[in-house]
Amino acid sequence: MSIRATAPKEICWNDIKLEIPPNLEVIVSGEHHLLFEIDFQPILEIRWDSSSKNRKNLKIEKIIQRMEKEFGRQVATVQLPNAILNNHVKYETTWLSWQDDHRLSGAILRCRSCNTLFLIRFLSNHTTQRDTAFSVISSLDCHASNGNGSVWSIQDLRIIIPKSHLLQNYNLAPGLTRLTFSSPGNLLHICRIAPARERLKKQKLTVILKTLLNKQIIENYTVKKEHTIEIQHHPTIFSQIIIRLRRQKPFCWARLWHNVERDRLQGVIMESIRPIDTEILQEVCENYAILPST
Amino acid sequence: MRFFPQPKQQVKLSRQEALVCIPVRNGTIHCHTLETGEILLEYVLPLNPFFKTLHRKFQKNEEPPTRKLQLDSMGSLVWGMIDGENTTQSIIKKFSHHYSITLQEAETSVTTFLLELGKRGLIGMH
Repeated sequence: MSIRATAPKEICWNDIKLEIPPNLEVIVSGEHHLLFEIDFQPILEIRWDSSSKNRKNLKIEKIIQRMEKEFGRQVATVQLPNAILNNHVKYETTWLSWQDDHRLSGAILRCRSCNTLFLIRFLSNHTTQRDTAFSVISSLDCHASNGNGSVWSIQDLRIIIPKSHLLQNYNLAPGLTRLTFSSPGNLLHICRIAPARERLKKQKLTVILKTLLNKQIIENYTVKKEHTIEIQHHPTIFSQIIIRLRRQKPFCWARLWHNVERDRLQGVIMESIRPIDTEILQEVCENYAILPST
Repeated sequence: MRFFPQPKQQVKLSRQEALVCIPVRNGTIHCHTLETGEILLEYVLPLNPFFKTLHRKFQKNEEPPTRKLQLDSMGSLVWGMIDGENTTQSIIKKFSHHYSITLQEAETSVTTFLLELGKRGLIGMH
């Protein structure tokens, strides 16, 4: 099956899902903050607060009052037809303007089922870009996680993470993407290195894995198949005590492989305080894909 | 009267302004293309008058001190695109397309690289 260049790109980040046109670039500005750009021009900003799930009685008026205080200017509501968003049934939408000419500046969306609150800001007044922004908001879905786990799809990587793991940290540095998820006693790192061939010219897979792990436990690695290495570290009881005293996690499992077709290095690393169940990790690796670039 | 001159306030460009700037090579730099395709730059080390005097006193030859900088393949690609016509934005786009990476990644790496070249006096922006 071939994917057309005009097909919308799916973005899944921290429980929200969006579909964006291929010419739109997503910039992750925070755990709950996404910025959208066309040709280096920002057009849309989305912030959301899932902690508001517990605050059913939070009134939109109060949020507007808080915004007025922050902006130091009046925030007025604007009437727009419901049909402008395809998902208006799911979300209670309040359109806002904080400009002198009462042009549309932003919106507050609240999910009717889970109360997740979205603050949307339009950064461009260009009609076409505004339409693109509306189409992005129309595709918004705050129930991105499926039965097996939560879907993460950013840049060109797509992965399904077990539901028990929550995002702890992320780093989208050039060439190295690293998402760190935590669950009680465990740390799961998802790594992506691009472009792989350039990196492999200078360093071997083992050296790269050693750098990613930041540990001196690379001696006993196994080559699973061509372009794939795997390590499993199971220290002795005495070593476990020493490592725990250093407040580190003694058990470690890591796999790094070269996706030759997409020119990426993909890595899955798990650190734990107890022996690691590799079945879950095998599943994570199987569900870790690099999407074709549009 | 000021005893110490106030440091010159640098003009800070916005992101949009910086992206439309055209990087231009310093004409005094010698470029050599190696067998590997990588580029070796040889440039005169910019010294302030005090160090220039010191250098003249202690060095037998009159030639100013030079430095060499070998660019990797990615750096060489960007250096090749600095032709006085490509804007920073177009370099980022071409770099992103060449390595199939996102524009955000390309922007960070290209701008950091250009900044480093600028600090060494190898390029200027216009």
